Amino acid sequence: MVPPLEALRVRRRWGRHVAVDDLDLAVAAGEVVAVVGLNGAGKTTLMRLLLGMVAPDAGQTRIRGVDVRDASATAWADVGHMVDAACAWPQLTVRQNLEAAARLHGVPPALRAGAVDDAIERLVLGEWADRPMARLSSGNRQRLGLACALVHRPGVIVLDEPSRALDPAGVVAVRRLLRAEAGRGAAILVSSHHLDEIARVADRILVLHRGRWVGRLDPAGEDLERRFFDLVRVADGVERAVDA
Amino acid sequence: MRDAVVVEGAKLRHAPVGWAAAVLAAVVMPLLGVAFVGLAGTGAQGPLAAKLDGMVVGSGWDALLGTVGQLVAVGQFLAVGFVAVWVFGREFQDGTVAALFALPVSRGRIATAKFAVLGAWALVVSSAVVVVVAVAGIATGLDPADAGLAAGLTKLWFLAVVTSSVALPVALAASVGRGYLAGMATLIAIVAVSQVAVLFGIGGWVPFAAPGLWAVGWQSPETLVSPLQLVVAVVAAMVGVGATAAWWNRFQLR
Repeated sequence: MVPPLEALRVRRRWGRHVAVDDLDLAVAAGEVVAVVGLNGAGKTTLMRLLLGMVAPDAGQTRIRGVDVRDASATAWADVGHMVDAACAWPQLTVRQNLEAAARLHGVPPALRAGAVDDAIERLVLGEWADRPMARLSSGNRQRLGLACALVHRPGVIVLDEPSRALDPAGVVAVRRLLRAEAGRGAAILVSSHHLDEIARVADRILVLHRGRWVGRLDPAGEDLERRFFDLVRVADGVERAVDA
Repeated sequence: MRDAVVVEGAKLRHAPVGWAAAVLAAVVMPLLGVAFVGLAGTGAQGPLAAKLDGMVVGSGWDALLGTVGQLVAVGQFLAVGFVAVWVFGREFQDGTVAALFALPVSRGRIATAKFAVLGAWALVVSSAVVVVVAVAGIATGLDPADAGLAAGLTKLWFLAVVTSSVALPVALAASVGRGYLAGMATLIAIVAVSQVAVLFGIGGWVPFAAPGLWAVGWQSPETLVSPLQLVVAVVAAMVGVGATAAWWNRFQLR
């Protein structure tokens, strides 16, 4: 079965800095794959490559087996993301932003109102539904961004640090939401700096360091933080040996 | 495409900048014209009066429409240009441009939708200019049954629309420059270059200067701008619009 989301030997550099170096990735339907790494490891660049925001210098990224550069409108209508910014604008209210996101993601008119109400309920935004985004707290803006990314119930979901700025209730809500989306068959790629939290959500945790995969973490394992730094240190040690 | 237009329309409708620019172009500029004509008619002395002598020519509706035309050529250009910079530049300034990737509607269509909304907004503002001038002129005692009034107001509306169109391509600068600064700098540079072009006698062939020069020519015995030059101005504007949409279809994030 063709993975809904793939990267095939993808490479991207910014000037002399190699952000993503010969990476392979496959996210299956119903799976939550987490990418963890230090700042500047290449997580966001990988996500941008997968979403066609940036073209690779080599390799390919695919949505349902099709190169993202050739992906159809139908393919993109099944993708939801929050990478770099939410599909939301400060002068619009929560509800107006969700209506805009539903429209832009191709939700049919007859289903739009229901999709918006559903998104408001799932991300617990009811109290702020008629408030402009500019007047929301950072946590509620994050909830709105997630709601906009998921309003159309996509089959492919890419989220860059979905729990950023969320209070504990928000973190739990997002965790449950992602598991529910995976349960209905969505292929989900998330990045995070919070190892303990992501371990409660992910089926697989991949460690990215200096643009390369350096290992995996077992979501059910203990002391993930120590194991993460062990992988990074080993990777750095290997690189230093190679450079020498 | 329709959905993109609806979304862009909602974004502009709920943005204070669109309303502020509309008031500036459709109310302030025409009323300023009325004030200038009134001041010129008092026989006052001083630097302002001297400037108005050159600006307000003739009497009655001719003087009012001619004066407002010159103000519209600058004010409408700045208002539409400013809003175009905001509509396109803000997506980069605020980072929301990333959300416009990975959608079933292409970024080229989103850019076209932005122009469609800008165009509709400019048409409404242009029409409001004409209404405000007509009402203000009648309120100051001008004859509403004047034989040349309808033709004069139509010419003013046409000027506002053409001026609006030549302002739209600043969106390309705001896009390529990825924010407000490049767009605003380009807007200001265009005004400066247009002034220089007029001084050197080639303003008619500069798309951004042609509409204003045409308005000045309403009160001049000589034809300053030909119909062909106005057509060239509009065509150049549409090329700029097309180039912006094409750029949006292909650009990547940095």
